[in-house]
Amino acid sequence: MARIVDRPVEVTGAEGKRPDQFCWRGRWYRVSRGLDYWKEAGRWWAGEAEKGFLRVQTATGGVFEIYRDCASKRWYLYKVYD
Amino acid sequence: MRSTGIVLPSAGTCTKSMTRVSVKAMSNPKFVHLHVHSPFSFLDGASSIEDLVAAAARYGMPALALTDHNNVSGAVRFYRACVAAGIKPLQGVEITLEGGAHLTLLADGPEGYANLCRLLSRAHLDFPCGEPQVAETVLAAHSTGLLALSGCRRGEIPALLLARRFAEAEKAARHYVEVFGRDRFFIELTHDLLPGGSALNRSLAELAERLDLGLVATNNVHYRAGTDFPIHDLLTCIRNGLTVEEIHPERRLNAELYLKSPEEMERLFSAYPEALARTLEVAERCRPALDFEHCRLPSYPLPLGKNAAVLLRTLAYRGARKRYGQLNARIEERLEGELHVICSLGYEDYFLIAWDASNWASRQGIRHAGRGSAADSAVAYCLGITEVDAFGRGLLFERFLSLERAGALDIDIDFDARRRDEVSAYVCSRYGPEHTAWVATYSTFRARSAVREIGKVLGFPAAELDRLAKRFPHIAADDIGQALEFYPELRHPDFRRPEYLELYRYCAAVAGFPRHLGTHLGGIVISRQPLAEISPLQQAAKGVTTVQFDKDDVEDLGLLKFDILSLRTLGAVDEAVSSIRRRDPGFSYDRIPDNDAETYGLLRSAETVGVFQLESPAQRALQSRLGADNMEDVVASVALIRPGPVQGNMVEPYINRRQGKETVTYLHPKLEPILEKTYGVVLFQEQVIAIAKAVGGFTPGEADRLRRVMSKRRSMQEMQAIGGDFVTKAVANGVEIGTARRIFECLKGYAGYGFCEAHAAAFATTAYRTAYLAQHHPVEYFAAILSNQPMGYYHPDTICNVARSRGVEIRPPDINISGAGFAVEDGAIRVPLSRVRGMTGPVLQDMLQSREGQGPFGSFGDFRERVRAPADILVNLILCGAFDSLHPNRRVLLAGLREAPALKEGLFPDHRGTAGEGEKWPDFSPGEKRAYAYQVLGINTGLHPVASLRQKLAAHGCLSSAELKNVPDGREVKVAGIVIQPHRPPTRSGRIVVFFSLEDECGLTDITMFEECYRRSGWILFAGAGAVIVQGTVQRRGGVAVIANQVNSLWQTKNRHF
Repeated sequence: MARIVDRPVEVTGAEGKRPDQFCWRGRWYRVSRGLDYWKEAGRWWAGEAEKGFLRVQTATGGVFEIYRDCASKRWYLYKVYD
Repeated sequence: MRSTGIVLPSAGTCTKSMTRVSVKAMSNPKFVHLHVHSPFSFLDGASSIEDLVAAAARYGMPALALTDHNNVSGAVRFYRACVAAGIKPLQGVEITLEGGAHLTLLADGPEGYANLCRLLSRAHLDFPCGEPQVAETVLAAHSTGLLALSGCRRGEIPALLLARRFAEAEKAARHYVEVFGRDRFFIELTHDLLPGGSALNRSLAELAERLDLGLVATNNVHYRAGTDFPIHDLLTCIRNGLTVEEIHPERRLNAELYLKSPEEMERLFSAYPEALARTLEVAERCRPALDFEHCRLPSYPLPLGKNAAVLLRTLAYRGARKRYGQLNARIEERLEGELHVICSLGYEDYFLIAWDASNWASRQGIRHAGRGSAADSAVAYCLGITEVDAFGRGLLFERFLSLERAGALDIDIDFDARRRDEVSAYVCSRYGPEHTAWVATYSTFRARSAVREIGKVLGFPAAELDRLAKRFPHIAADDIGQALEFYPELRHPDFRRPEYLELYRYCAAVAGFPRHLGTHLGGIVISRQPLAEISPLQQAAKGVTTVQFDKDDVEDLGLLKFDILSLRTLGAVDEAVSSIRRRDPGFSYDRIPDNDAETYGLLRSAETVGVFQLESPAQRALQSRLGADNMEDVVASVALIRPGPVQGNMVEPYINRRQGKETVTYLHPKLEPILEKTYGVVLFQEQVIAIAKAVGGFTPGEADRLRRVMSKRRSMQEMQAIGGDFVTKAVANGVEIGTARRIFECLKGYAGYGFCEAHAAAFATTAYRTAYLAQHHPVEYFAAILSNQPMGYYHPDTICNVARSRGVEIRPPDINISGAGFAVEDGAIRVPLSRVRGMTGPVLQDMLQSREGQGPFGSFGDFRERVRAPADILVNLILCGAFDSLHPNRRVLLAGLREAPALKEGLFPDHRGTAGEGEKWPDFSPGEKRAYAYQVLGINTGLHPVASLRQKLAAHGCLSSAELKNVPDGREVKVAGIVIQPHRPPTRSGRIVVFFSLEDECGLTDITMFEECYRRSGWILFAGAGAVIVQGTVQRRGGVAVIANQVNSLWQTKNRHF
């Protein structure tokens, strides 16, 4: 099971690389492994920018999907897997 | 440094500069795209072939593959583009297997290409409905010469791996190895940056390693750059009937399927460098697949022991004796000369095929006439293919065919439209389904279709799109921006709303993209070699088999096209002749005298609506000034009213010389016999050839080259080179240098606009004869052309109006008299029941059969008991007066129709009609009757609508078209009527001139509107005004016309009287 969050999150790490960690609900999650990576064009006709998605595993064993909005360059937590 | 060993194809169109740049760039190639879709993937490719090839060349790729879905329609264009860019074309296809899986195939040379065509033919013909599919057995039978890649995510192996069915994936891979061989089957890796992509590639690589198979990297390219993704998404939505807001598995998630650079591919496939290198090896193994060197001539099935050349000679001489009676030496010399060229080029079978088709049609009583440059051939005339005496007219065979211009032979024959399909079916059965197929057309996006289809995807309401699309003229989808600036009717700010401007940008991006394959109107290819080896065959919507190439590509592939065209005029002629013969059994269309004074009188009167080729306003204006009194005038007329002569300003000098107002002079005595019949004006292409031969001493082939340089290419360099050649040779021929130069300048000035005399003569014969029918048998002729609509220039209502103005009564439909077509009835024309809106074939048949079997209907009730007609048809029959002879009150009949209350709304403004109270209803007024009948029939059977306004129009100072005939030149007038066919033909100056006619109860008035007036009020004509009042100046030049100064909608005049 998974639930969609789709909220901006703070991340740390080198620009253009997979984030080292992200902060959600005041707690930092360290990324231990990248499981998958893909891109989505979004609603281009409504002016949405492309998003780069990452499915990651954290050090605590949780699986999350985070994405970077290519226009705002902000990171979002998209999905949390139970 | 690694060499690919790729050899560039040797086709001659490769320019030196492009080759040099590309070869330099190719010094260290890293990667070749082997899986590429173009717009010929039909709504699944969003960049033109030329753009894709140019990008590949720019990236230094030594080759590029084209792998469209289940077709090779882009192959010829792709080949040409690659050769021009100096890279190697790899022809392939992405096939759909039975069950829906994809597989990428590449032909390693001509044999592989032939197999590609064979298996695609089976895929299309075995699965004519829905998506074509290649059966497993078919793939196995035609795998020779093919290299296979395991495909995109929709490939069988990737799909099984994604479903984690590893054992089945391995089994499938082993199967493909069996089919193609281990060294011909590759595992395809595509890094499309979709979820699961990396894992899929890992699984594919593991499988390849386990089975010892090669890996190749592709990007499943669907467009040139990532910025083209929106266009691809829009096309995908069109293909699947979606709007952009709808989710569908066919829509791509991201913009990654573009033609990536070798460096980008290197980054993506850094874990699989061998997959990149192998793309070069695959490209190296493939040779160009298409064969452009051979002319694939058709074969005529000869009687045992017969030789085609001998048979052709026998038939030509037999025909010549029939046509000319006694043969003299000059006729024999002409025939021998033509036969020598025909047989030397190997075209004897082609001539026999054309003869056989026209001969068969004659035996079946199917009227036909050859057209085009084939009418330059005396052999074609003797064989009965054409009706133009090429020998008698002195037409030049070289315009049609010469030893120096092999290929591109094209015989076009018009057949009676009603029976044309019988002829094409005969030809297809005669030469067999393996050797005959229809030529395809590439139906492309134009402004209107692009606005409609893309607008629908973007969510615009259909009614709004329809309104918008209809306002655009018939222009290319990328000309919308220019049109908004150019056409006054598009200047309204409403057309520039931001959302529309966005829509127009997308329309421009798909301009010229093929949307789907269509079927050529009449082109059939007949080949000695099985066609399925040259082109995939498929079934068209109308049930015939087509190749996957259009007429130009077919010609490039060396196939000969035979045009079996359909001409409604011939159907009308046939019907008119049958009708005339009922009254005059001795009448013969073929023996119509070509010197009938009354027919020429009709032409001079310009009352030529309905006459083949001579009915447009421009033709009628010409006729009123030319003073035609012989067949040569008709031939010249057909040639003169064309964009070329009009733009070339040839019409005025021709008319002046014909009228004796300008002296006919010749630059050299050698020109006189050539130009005599056109008063010294170079009007026909044959004359250019004759001048080049007589003055320049050119060979027939050289002379025809001169004609082609002038008429088509018009490259300045080519023109100068051939001009220099002409002058040099003319001087050597004894012509003074200044004269030679002036003659060439004259040719340059006129010949570019010249017309093929043979074609003009072929059309002129039909034009003159239909004028004869219109003059002497107007009732039969007008009835026949009304029955064969749509044809010609005018709406049936205009034809009815013209017929009426010539004294022919147009009678309304009558349930006991009218038939399926317009019928001649005691000197009048009876409108048929088929004309009633909503009428269907079965209901019409039911009515006619009931009448034939049980006699006339006695009453409306009798009709209803005998015929099962839907309510909407019944209402329309009542409204157009079809039951008037059975019941005097239309409203009463309508009131009795319980089952059609919705249809009756508005017909009973005050009460709803119910059975029983019917007799209380007063009938419609005459005006209402006319209006309803017009709505139902689309033609007026009574008073013309303008006639009912005549009193008010007269009070407003408007003259009728009849009154206008007596007004002197230069007088200011007002005229009113219904706008007929406004059009803006190209002009030499580039300025706009609008021509249209105004129809009133007395006939037509031709109006000319120059740019100034057009800018002011011309938009009204193109915005659906319907009827207008024109203020202008009378111009009398032969006939009478009005030069418009102001145009107003008839319904928007100041005092709103109308």
